[in-house]
Amino acid sequence: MGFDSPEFWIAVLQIIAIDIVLGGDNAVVIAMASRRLPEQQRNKAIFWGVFGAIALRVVLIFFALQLLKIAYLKIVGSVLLLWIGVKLLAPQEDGGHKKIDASAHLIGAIKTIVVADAVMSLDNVIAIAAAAKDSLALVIFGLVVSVPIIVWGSKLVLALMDRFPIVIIGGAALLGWIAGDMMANDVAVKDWVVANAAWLKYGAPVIGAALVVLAGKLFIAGALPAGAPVDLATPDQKKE
Amino acid sequence: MLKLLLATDGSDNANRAIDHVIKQAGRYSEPLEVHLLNVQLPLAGVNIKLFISREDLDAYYRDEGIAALKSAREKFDAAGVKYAFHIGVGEPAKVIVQYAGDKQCEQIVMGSRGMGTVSNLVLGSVASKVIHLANVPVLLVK
Repeated sequence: MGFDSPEFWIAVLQIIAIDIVLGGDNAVVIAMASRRLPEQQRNKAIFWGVFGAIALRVVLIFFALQLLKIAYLKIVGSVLLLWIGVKLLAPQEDGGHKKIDASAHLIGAIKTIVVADAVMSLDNVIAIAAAAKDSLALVIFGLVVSVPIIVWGSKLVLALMDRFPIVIIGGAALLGWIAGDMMANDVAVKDWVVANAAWLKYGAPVIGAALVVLAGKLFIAGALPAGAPVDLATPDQKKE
Repeated sequence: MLKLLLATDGSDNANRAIDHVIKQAGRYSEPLEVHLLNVQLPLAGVNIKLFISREDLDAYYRDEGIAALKSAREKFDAAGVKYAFHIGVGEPAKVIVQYAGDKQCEQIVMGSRGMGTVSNLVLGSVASKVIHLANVPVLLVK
């Protein structure tokens, strides 16, 4: 892929979109995980959390390009992306045991941040690698773009996503698209696809995108419609 | 009793709206019923859905809301004007108008321009959307 090919610029746009959708809320997750710490520790936890999110991406991306050459790993990666895409459309779940706590202890907050960093970096790296299609320049570009989004990724990005739901649906469809594309390009199936089912070159991405959006639609239909506004101040009023 | 909905985001502009209501409070023959409201923007990122529980998210909105309401509550406490306060989550203009209907307020009072110029640019002005949606008079304070 050269600078003059349309594929290159489509990949550039895809990578920017992925970085926004998957990286825009990392800083907020880290801030929330540390919100019950005393102020000085909190700032430290946030700094190292954001640092870790970036460092992990750098490390992971080195391995990702190598790993994705191994048979079946692209298929595993694409399943992960499909799942993330569906999650993007799913409504906020009520608290369960699997959710991490905003721990009041430094060690607890660190544990939380490390786990969150690992997952957030892994999905972002796989998505970048998938959209970059083996172009090292694009992979590095994706990494560079993700850094400011993680550091300054603000509530504004998230508010925008909420204000314009098309961003979320588009982001989810994009994840499905690149997941389908990556699946058809796995080392184990690539030759078979080229020889027997060339239509999958575009068919697989379309199926991936459609799958994610349909699954998401089911989720949205299952969610309760917005009723009377929830008043979060009530419990505090009772206390005072 | 005159019922007012006072929307605030804790900005200087919103504080001027609060000062105005306090100044006007003595002029009415009937007592004022003030409903203070702060609206938090929802956080809808995929990683937030994955890692943050509903409870923690609500606690976060509540903390942010209480912080945004702090200056307004201090002003009302100092002036001795009674008020109730509320924290909502959602698209600010919609939630403000919903609350006004819910609490049967006869007027909405708010600052004409809130927190950020950048937010206004990309999200649009909350005040102009409230004017658009509201079915009671809206008082904008500059």
